[in-house]
Parts: sequence; C-alpha cells; structure tokens
Amino acid sequence: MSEVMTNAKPVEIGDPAPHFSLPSAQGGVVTLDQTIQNGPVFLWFSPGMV
Amino acid sequence: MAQLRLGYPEIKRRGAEILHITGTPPELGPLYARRFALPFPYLCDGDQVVHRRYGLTTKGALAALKNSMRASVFGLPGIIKGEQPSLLPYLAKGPAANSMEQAMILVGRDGKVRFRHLADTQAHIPPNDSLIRALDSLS
Repeated sequence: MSEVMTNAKPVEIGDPAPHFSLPSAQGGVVTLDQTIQNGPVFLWFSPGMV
Repeated sequence: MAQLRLGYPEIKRRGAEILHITGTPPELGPLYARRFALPFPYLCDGDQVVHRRYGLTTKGALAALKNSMRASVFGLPGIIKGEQPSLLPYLAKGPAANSMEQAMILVGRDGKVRFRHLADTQAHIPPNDSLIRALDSLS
C-alpha cells in the first residue's frame, strides 16, 4: 500500500477503481493492476473469516 | 462464501476473478490458508486502508459489537476443535473491521467500476445470477 487516501463516499459506477496492493493469505502480494490485465475483477469487501 | 464458491467456476469461465478483501490481520491470513480451502485470493486489509480508499466506512459501535459477538459465536467451535486460531488477535484489532460496510464491486479491464452493491451485513451478497449478468454486460 503506497498511500493512505480515504474517500468520503463509496466509489460510483464509472469511477476509476482505486489501486491497491495487499498481502494474500495464500502467499505473495496481489495488486489490482496486475489482476485486471487478465480480465474483469470482482472485489468482495467483507470482515473476512473469523 | 459458499454462494460465491458455487458461482466461481462460471465467473472464471468468463475470464473474471474474485478478490476477497477482508479485515483480517495479515498475520492470521496464512493460518486460514492452511486450515481452509480458500477458493479465491483472500487478501488481508487489516488496517482497512483499502476499504476506506473505496469509500467504505464503519457503521458505528453497535454494529461492531453485534458483528464481533456473531464472529465469536461462530468462531468458538472451530477454536475448541483446534481448526481455527484463537480469536484474541482478531478481536484485539478487529472491531473496526467488524463494523465496516460490505460491498461487491466489479472492475472492468479498463480499471473502471462497472457494478456496485453495498450492504451492511455479510448476508447481502448479490445473487450469482446478478454477478454473471454484470459480467455479461461488459462485453
């Protein structure tokens, strides 16, 4: 994560998707830029598994 | 996750991917990966920086308490059986994550948001048919 920016409102349809880079539980780091090179991407935001 | 797991093959057939962006602290991620068959990349946004970058906010202390209690109840059997790590690290860092808004966002290959669904609970994932339709609308 190269920067800490906060949007006051959720992103809207047509907005550029903010870039990110996050550690994966399965290993390595995943970036949005690299992933969309292979096709569209669903981003599912949730608290996760507990 | 069960619903998305079922729809994942159809999504992959269309050349798309799912990235699960969670509030899980990065130090717990590998434990989950070893213990569970995670169908798609499970990303650790422990400080919720990316959540906030997408404009997702916390829903207040009451929502955090409710979701933390729910997580504890569902997590306890796994801890007792040794199938899940202790919740203590998560609970120490997790109340903010537990109150974050939920969302499903589709990003096209052009890097733009093409579909958006916001919700305040985990139960509100759009049906798989809606996700497939959103994908098909890109072509």
